[in-house]
Amino acid sequence: MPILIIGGAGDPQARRVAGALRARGERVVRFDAGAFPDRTVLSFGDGVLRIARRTLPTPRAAYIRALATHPLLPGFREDLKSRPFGLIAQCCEKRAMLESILLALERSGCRLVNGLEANAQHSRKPYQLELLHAAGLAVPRWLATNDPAAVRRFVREVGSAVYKPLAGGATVQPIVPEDLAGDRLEALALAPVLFQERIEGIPVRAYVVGRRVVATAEIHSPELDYRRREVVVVATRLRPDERRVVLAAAKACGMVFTGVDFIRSTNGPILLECNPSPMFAAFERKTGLDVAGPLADYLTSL
Amino acid sequence: MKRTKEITKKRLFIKELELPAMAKGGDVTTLAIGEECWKGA
Repeated sequence: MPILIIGGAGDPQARRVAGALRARGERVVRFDAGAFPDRTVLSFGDGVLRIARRTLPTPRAAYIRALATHPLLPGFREDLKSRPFGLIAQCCEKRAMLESILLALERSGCRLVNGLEANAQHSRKPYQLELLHAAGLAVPRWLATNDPAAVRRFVREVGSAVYKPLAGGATVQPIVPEDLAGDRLEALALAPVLFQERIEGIPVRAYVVGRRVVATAEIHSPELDYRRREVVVVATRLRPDERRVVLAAAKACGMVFTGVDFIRSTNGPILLECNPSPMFAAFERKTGLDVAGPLADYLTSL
Repeated sequence: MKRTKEITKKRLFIKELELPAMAKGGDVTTLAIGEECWKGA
């Protein structure tokens, strides 16, 4: 049975995994989520899935890199301006089709890497923090709220704080005095925000595949959010306590493949996030470490 | 506590969607939109 890869045609992660699987003699079917529905024909009915009019036997595993269903993706920018309601409806319909197929495949025995619930944690950050906290793992103190008074109280308690979106799409920012003064906090009436205690230390990204940590690196940046400017990405070895925390975090989040972000602090590892569909191609290039290979081994073992 | 003031400024507290194309650097990982970290591929 083939292994299905769902992601953009040019996505380097999908390409790396496809290459690694083929090198292991696996049959790979790639589905370009960015090309559906305008350039790829997909049909699902009476228990039969057809991609480009060819029947696909139930894959034994599916690596879900991306579904490309969010109306805020850069490729939809013009449609978002000119026909926002149509675009939102089209994205909902596309998501309904792809998620229905994936859930049906899962019911038929196909292993999803990762499952939809785990994938959805990308845009459910407070829920994921609660999962990690409930598992007894150290996370920064946090508060998701639209209550200005609660924000002021929280910042007074933790001293130094940052804020970030609950669903992603924007970088982490430090809380500065101007954020708490005047009418700035009135913006919480439009959308809640995730506030977190600021943790000092070195950011570390650790990739987990199955029950193994396969690659780890420190990411040094002058920015609070290293995604703005990664100056040095250097391979590192995890201490035993860090390894235990990283593996426990992946398990708590129900992820068989994840990029775990934590801060190497003086108080030990403090978890920030488990990414259910992490990028890794540039990480591999910068560190010389292999993520696609172990992921391919894992998919092959399913 | 109920809000009594009308919301006059329709601007989010977070930076309103810093699209990956606008984010500098960040090729180890980037901003997530929906379920994915997306670089436009």
